[in-house]
Amino acid sequence: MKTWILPARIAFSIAAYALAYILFAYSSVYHEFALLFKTQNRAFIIINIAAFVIIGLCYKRFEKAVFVICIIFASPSVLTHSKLFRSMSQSTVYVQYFSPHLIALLFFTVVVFLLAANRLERLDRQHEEMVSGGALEADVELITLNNIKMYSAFLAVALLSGLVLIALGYLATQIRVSWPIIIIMVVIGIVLALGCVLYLYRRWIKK
Amino acid sequence: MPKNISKVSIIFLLLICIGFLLANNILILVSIIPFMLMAFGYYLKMPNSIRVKKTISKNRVTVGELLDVFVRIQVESGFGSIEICDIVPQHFELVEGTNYCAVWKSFEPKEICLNYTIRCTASGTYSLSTTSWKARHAVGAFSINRKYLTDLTVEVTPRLIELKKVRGMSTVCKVPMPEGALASMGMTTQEFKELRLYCPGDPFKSINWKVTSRNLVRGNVWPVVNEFEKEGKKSVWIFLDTSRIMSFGSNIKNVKEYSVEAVNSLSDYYINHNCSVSFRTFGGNNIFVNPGSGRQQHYRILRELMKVRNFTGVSKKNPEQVKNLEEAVYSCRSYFSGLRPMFVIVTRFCTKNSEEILRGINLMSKYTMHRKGYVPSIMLINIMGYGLMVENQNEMLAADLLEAMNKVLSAKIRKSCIWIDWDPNKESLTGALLKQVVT
Repeated sequence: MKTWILPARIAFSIAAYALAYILFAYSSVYHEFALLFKTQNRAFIIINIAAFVIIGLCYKRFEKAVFVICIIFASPSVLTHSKLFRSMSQSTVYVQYFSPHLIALLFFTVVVFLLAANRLERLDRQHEEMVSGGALEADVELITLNNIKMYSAFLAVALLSGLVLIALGYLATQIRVSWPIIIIMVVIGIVLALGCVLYLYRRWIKK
Repeated sequence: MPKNISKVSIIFLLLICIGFLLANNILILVSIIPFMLMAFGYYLKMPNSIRVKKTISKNRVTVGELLDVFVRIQVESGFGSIEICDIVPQHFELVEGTNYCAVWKSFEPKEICLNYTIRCTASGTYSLSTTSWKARHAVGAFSINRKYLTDLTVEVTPRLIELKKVRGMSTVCKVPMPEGALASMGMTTQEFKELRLYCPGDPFKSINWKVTSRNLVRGNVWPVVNEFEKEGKKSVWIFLDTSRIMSFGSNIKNVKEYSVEAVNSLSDYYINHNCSVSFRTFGGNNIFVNPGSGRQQHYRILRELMKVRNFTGVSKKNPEQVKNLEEAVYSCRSYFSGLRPMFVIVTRFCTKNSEEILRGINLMSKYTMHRKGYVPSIMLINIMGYGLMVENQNEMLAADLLEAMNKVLSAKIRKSCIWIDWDPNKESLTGALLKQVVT
């Protein structure tokens, strides 16, 4: 079991890094970097070297370093879609290569991959703790496997919910309704969301 | 609310707030991940209600004896991994099995059995009450630590080292064994000693009919006789050093434990030879057992010896009550009148207590028997503790050097008493006593 956890962690981290880099590469900030370093290839090399150096320095907690770098890479694409941000800086023209829904999907996937890598690292540590404590190897492997299954189910549900919401978001833009209906829908959505949050929060406090 | 859930809820709130502030749908979308984590964390419950049933093979063991522990754990509800550890007290070593396990609990109730064998290396009363467990959430990164307490204690008595006389040796033993102490067929006095079961040959007039009839009611049909003290009983006083000097050695092998074993064995030996034995500590806690004889006296001494094990030196509450050897002997002087007792001192000789021991022995000499040409009836058992701490050849050499230095320092004291050097690493107490045989 230990033999495939480390490769899986590295694979998830690389996949998250790759997707985050794609989001970064297709943003305006990357074009600024390309202009700064004169060519795209140079910008590609320098940015990746800088990222690898930072990850190398934090090699003991490389998942955390990868997480921070992926968020930094994805932020320009994600924040570009903030309506407040855009309305405040009208002079700058932001180039969008991906649609908002695609960016949302990619960003969501990056976060899911990072969570998976982080969880595997935690399970690996837990595995070592239990084995050094004196537990049987077979029992610990069963625990690790079941934990992976449970967390995979959680991530699958989260990803599915995310996809459904992105699809709904896409469909909503296609529907032409009047302003009052839009407002009612927004209010219902906010009330539902707030209601769920408050309900869960109160349950946790009572516990 | 666990700390991890609070962190997750803060992340969720931050994402939602920033999302609404910047009117960014992507951030609002991503905030469903921490929200779902909170929901999973709440609705998927960790293993919680646990019941523990623990049994041990014996309630009373001697040092070095094995003890079997059987623990049955029932986990009723919850889902996830659970780690269980049955806490073994200090001074116990695990011999067989394991007292720790990690299992996965599914939705059905689960029963776990932990069977292991332990060995106690030091005497005393120990509590085997605590079973601790840790449940981890299957999805959230949090866990709970709990303890389950059961009412279970085990009494560990010191080892009894059999001290036997060596037959067929035509030498005069220098060790002041109570030669004058009686054959068992001596003149009986009116002083009551103890009750015991009838043996063929006992006179019928010694049967205690009251106690016998009480035993009959309980179902025991064997008669009980009165035993009286024999004339001219030899008196033996055992002084045990309980100062910090005795806390020398490792957790498993230490001078204090060997000293307790030596006292236990010597008191058993002298009591079996119809001597009146009393016990006194000095340098630490204040334990005193009045002179007495018979099996009951041995149990009284044993009970007090087990209290000694748990004491680690000078009491902080009453430092003025701590008596050195001379003061301890002086406080018991009223018992010595009319008798010429034999004194046994069990200690670990070093530079720190050399003066104290010399003064104590000088005082004892005034009360014990004097025969011209013979040393007084004072025996000092010096437990050589340096060897208990050695781990390699160099340390062994250093230990030998220190013992040689102590031998030089104790030259004056050796002339005033019977000095027994006992290195528990190399020999038993019997072997150490036998070495003192001279022509």
